Amino acid sequence: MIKIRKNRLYAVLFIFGSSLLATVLVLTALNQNINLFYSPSDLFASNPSPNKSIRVGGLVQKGSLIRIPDSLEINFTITDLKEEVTVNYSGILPDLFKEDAGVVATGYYDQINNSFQAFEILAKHDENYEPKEVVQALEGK
Amino acid sequence: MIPEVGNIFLIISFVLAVTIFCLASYSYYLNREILNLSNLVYFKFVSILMSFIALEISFLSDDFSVLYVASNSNPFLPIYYKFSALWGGHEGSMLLFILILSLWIVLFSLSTNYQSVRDKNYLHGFTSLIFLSFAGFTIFTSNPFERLLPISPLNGTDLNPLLQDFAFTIHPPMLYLGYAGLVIPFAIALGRCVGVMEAWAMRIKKWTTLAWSFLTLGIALGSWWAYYELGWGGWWFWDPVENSSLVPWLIATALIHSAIVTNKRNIFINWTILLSVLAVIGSFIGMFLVRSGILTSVHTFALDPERGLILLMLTFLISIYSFYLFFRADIISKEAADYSFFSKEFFLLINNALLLILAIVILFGTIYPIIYDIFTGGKSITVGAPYFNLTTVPIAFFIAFFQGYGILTFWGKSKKDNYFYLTCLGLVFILTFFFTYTLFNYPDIFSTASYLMFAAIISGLVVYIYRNSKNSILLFNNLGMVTAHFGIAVMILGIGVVSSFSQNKEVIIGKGEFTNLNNYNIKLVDEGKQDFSNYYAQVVQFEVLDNTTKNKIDLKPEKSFYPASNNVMTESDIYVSPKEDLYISLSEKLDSGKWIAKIQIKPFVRLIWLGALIMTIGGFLAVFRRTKYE
Repeated sequence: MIKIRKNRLYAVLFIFGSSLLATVLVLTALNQNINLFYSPSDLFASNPSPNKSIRVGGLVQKGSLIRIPDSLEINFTITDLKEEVTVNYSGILPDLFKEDAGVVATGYYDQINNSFQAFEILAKHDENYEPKEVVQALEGK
Repeated sequence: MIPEVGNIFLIISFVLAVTIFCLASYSYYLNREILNLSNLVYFKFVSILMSFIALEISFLSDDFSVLYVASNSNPFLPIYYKFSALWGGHEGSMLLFILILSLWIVLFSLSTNYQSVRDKNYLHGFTSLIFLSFAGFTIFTSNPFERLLPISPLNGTDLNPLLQDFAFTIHPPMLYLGYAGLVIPFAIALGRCVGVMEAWAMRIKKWTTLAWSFLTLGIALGSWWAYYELGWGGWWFWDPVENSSLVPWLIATALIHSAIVTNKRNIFINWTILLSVLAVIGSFIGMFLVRSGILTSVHTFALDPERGLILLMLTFLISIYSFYLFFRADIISKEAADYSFFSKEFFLLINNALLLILAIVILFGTIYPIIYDIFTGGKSITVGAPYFNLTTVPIAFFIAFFQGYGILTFWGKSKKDNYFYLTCLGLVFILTFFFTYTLFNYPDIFSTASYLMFAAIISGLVVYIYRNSKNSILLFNNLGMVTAHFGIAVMILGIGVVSSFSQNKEVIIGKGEFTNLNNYNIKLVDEGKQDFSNYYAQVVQFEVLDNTTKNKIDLKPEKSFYPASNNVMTESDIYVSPKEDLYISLSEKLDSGKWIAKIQIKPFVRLIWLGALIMTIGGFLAVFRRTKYE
């Protein structure tokens, strides 16, 4: 190889290498900002730490949605048709959140009470779209 | 009939592009000129334009026998949304994209003269390569002219209500003008690899700046659209789709600056070529991420993994082709040229590297869920906004620091002044730091960082203008640069203020009830139902009293229901005062008849988009100012 080409190759490799290293380091440091996804069955199987924020998805069980009157507090159950978990949430719900429809909640799992304290609720984005993970959870993946 | 004609024109344009690429390659192989390919390029444009018009006609005449029209339009849609519904889905937006790509190629061909016809043909070959990739992709995997025959529906399923909006009608075309424009510097750079030397760095700089201006405007429009149309007042979500527009933007920004150095000093040649190629590959990867549905995003296109695979393969092939040309080119490099530590070259080099690293960090965070999925055997994760904030802000901070200082440096060598300016900048930093801490009493590290970034850029600009105040020609020549840099400073200030001083409140409010937020008294006065041509809405009327100005304003946020697609939409309403936005959106109506509403105050949020607009203007000034002399 001609020296110039060699240098060029080194330059390209150096840029990609150093940046990749930088990102890997950054990601390791930011481990807490990555939210793992669980279906209700996974929750039972693997008992995630109560201090780490995770996402839980499945269907909102029919008849499980309860609102404390005139407040932002709600409870509902997420099911994957095998296991279920109760979710507590205070705040605004997405437009397409409803019973018997797909949902993904982000928050913290409390194993003792089998309850999930959510700080963010995502529902379908439009009528034709179901979150990918919900579909997989229901297929029993 | 008309859809078939459109399809035929689409195929003709593809065949023309293949022909141009083959002829250009053959001419390179023979090492002589064979014929002028410019005319074929113009035919290709006319042909794709006809195809586009054919699809528009199908939309405007409600031809639901066309599958794409049936799934993206509806007879009750207002006429201007029927027009823009063409780019409301995947297939049509591909058609719009290749139309715009072809337009760029024609504009480039018309406005740029090459002494040798052969040289120009080579560039036509490279642009046609990209064109034929996308046109082929459209024809074979996402043909918008596909028919629903013999049984066609009487009614369409409607355009996604989120997209029935003014900003949406112009956001995709602007964004595509940006992406597609990057193909021109790509072609010039590959041309340089095969020996087209004529004014190449200057042309890369000019065409990248033009594309960059549209890209800036496109991204800003998208952010503005998300702000008022998604209904919850955020202006940037670190969504995969947003990220994949930001990555090419950052690479293009680096490319502009690198091309400036190459044009002026004839160094960083390889770097400029590499960035030109990376900008296009970055856009390809972005398109792959958006269209394959591999990442969950708020912008949903009709998702199809097979399309994704083909896009990935196209990206791979074009990368291999470009890097092959790049590595085999014998470019005599004098990278070890005599520039010293405090020279302009050096600062531009640092900022180039930082911009590229920033792009890679964002890209990595965006695709990390895919990597994680592969390596853990199907575990699904999301990377949250905190990752992006924590990684991008420090890098952006250094970029702004070097940007502010860099424009005060000189080409080639350091001067005594450099140390003086560095001291001044340090002083500005310390002052800004104490000023923000004492005045705002707000120890948020992100917003403090943005005030410091603002101070660095602005103080650099002020000293630059003062120093050159007698040299009006120089200032005038660099008006575009100064404007664009000012724009980014304005935007950064806006980001800082919004992230530290926003307030919000979620309330439950019934008819006749009051609530307060900051200086505003808000009363729910009335509610009612309203019917529109393609949807109906529950409208709630709020009376807002601004206690500082004693102004009374009515705000009417809506909850709209679209029967054709069975969708619900949150339509916020915003009171815009010079210093802040008051933003009200409705959540849901409770059984008691009361509403849940979210009320937000977003101080100086408009600086974000104003900054982007100033940057765009700066870009245009830089292009059209320079062309007069060069």
